[in-house]
Amino acid sequence: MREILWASFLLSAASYLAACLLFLALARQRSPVQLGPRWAPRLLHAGAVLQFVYLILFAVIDRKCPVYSLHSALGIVSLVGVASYAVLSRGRHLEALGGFVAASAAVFLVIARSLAASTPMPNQRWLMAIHITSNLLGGGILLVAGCASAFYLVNERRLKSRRVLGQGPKLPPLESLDTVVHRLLWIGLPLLTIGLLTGRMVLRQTEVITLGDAFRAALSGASWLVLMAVLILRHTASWRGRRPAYATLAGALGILIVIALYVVRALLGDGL
Amino acid sequence: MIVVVGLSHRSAPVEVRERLAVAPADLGQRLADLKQRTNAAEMVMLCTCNRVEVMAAPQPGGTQTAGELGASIVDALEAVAPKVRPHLYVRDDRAGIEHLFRVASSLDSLVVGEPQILGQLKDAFSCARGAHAVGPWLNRVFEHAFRVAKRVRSETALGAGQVSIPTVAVDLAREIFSELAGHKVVLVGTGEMAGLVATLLGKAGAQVFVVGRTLDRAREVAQKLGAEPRSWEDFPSLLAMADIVVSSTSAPGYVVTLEQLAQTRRQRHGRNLFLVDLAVPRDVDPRIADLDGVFLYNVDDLSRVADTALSDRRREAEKAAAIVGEETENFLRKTHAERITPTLVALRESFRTTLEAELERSLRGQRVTLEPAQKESLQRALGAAVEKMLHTPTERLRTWAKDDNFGDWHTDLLVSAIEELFQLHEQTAAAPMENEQAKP
Repeated sequence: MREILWASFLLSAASYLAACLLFLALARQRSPVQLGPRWAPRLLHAGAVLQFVYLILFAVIDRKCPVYSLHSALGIVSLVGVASYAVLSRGRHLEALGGFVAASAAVFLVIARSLAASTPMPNQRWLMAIHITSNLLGGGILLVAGCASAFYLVNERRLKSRRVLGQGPKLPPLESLDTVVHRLLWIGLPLLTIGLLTGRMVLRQTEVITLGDAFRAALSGASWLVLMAVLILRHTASWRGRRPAYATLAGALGILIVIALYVVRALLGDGL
Repeated sequence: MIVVVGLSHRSAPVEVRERLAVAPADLGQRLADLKQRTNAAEMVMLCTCNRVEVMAAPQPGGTQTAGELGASIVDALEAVAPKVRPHLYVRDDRAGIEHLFRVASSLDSLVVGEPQILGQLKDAFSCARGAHAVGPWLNRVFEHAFRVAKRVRSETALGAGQVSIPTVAVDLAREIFSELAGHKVVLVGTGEMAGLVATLLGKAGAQVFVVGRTLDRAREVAQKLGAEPRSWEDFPSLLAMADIVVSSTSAPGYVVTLEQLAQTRRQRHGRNLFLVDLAVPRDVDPRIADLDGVFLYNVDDLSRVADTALSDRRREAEKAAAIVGEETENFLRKTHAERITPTLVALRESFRTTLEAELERSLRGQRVTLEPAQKESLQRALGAAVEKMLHTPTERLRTWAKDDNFGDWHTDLLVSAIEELFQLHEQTAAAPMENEQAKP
C-alpha cells in the first residue's frame, strides 16, 4: 500500500511538472517536443487524479479524516485550484496561467508531503469540519483568482507600455482573465464567507485565543472585505481593469499568508 | 537531376513578372505546352504574385542533360514573354534542389517566414500531378521539400510574430479581447490600411461599423467591407459601445478627443477599448492612452512591433538556412547512394546469368552423370562463391556513394567504369530507379 502511496505522489508531482513545462512551451508558442496543445491540460488532469488517489490512500493508511490533516488540506487546496482552472480555462487561451497553476499544485503537493507527520488538531467537531472544508475550497479558488489577477496586471502593463510586445511568452488575453477572475470570485467568496463565519463561531467556543489566532482571523477578515468590495464595485460602479486586479491580488495574498501561517504553525508542532 | 528556371521579386520587377504570370485555371495547359516544347521528363510550374518558376527533370539515360533542359526552358519562356530572358535564373543539380527547399521553407519569400508559399507550392505540385507531369524524380524532390518546410516550421520561429501593420493590430486586439467574434469595431475614415485592419477584424467575426464624413462615402466603404455604414453624427454613440476603433482620416486635428471619451465612460461600463490610430497627423488625442482600460496604438507603435518580429525572423532565418543546407546534403547523399543501386543490381544479374549459362553448359556436357543432389550442391557452391566475390566491391561502392568526400564526379566515374568494364549499359538503362513510382 505504501508503495502505491509513494508512486502516486511521485507520479502526481512529475505530471504537474511536465504539465507546467508544456504549458510554458505553449505560451511561448514553441513546443520543445512534438506534442499537441491538448497534452498540457491532460497531464494537469492526470496529476490531479494521481494526487486525489494519493490523498485517499494517505487518509486510509494514517486513519485520519482528510479535513483535519494540514497535509491533506494543502492537497485539497491545490486540487481545487486545478479543478477551477480546468473548468474555467476552456477556449480562453490561458496557457501561461495553466503553467502557474500546475507549478503551484506541485509546490503545494511537496510542501504538504513535508508536513505529513504533523499532529492533527484534537477539536474534531462538525463546525470545525465545515470551517476547514469551506476555507480550503474557497482558498484554493481565490488563490487561482489572485494568480489570474497577477497575470492581468503584467499583461496590461505590457500592452500599455507598447514596447516589449512580440517578446517573451504569450500571456493570456485581458478579457479572458477578467472574466475568469470575476467567476472565481463569485464561486470562492461565498465559500470563504462560510469559512469565516464558522471560524468566528469556533473562536467564540475557544477558551484561549492566541495572538496568532487573532492575527489570522483579522487577516482573513480583511482579505474577505477587499474581495467583497471588488465584487460589489464591479456590479455597482462597473469597476474593471487594473484597480480591481490589484485589489483581488491583495485579497488573495492575504489568504496565502493565512495558509502560510497554518503551515508554519504545523511545522512548529501545533497541528492545524 | 532537377533544373529550376524562373524569376522572382529578387530578379524581376512586377511589370516583368506579370508578363509570365498564369491564371490558376490555365496553369495545367501552360505546363503541358512547356513540357512538350522542352521535352522534359517531368515538370512543375509555380506561379505566385512574387515568382514564376519551372522545376523540371531531364529525360533519363543521358539523352538530355540538365544544362540542355535549362536552356530549352529559357527559350520556351522567352517565346511566351519576349525580353524576359535577362531576368531569368537557371539553377540545376544541387543549387536547384537547395533553391526549391528554400522556396518551400519561405526563406526566399518577400516576407520571410510567410506561410502561404508552402500551400502555393503544394497546389502547383498537385496541378502538375493532375496533368501527369510528375514522375519519380520530382515526386521525390517535392516530398522532401515539404518535409524540409515542416522541419523549419517546427524547429525555428521563422513564422512567429506578425510583420505587417494590419496583422499586428489584429494580433494585439486578440491579446486584449481573446476571441473577436461579437466585438464591435468602428472604422473612422476611409484609409486603405485602416480598411485592411477592419477587413481582418471582420473576418475574425467582429461587427464592423464605418463612419465617414458623409453617409454616402461611408456606405461605399461599408459595402466593400461588408460592414454597416453610419453617419458622423452617430460617432459618439458608436464610441460608447465600441471595443475597437480604427481611425485613419485626413483631418488636421484630433477626431477622438479625451473629453469625448470621458463623456462615454459611464456608458462603457469599464470595458476595455483598443484604439488604432493609423492617421498622420494623428486622429486620437495621445492623452487618452493614460486612461485605465484604454490601449492606444499609432502607426509608429505598430511598426515597432512589426520590426521586432521582422528582426526576430531574420535571426531565425539563419537557423532555417542551416536546416535547408543540411537537408540538401541529406537528400543528395541519399540520392547518390541510390544512384549506384541499378549498377549493382545489373552487375549481380550479369554474374548470375553468366554463372547459370556456364553451369548449364557444363551439366549438359562433362558432368551429365551427376546426381540431382550433386548438381544442386554444385549450383549452391558456385552461387555462394559469386556472392562472396561481389560482397566487398558492393559494400565499398555503397560506402563511397554515401561518403561526402568522395564527390559526385567520382561516383559517376566509378559507375561509368563498372558499366563499361562489365558491359552493363543495357541493363541499367532498362530500369533506372524502377522502384520509384510517382505517388497517385
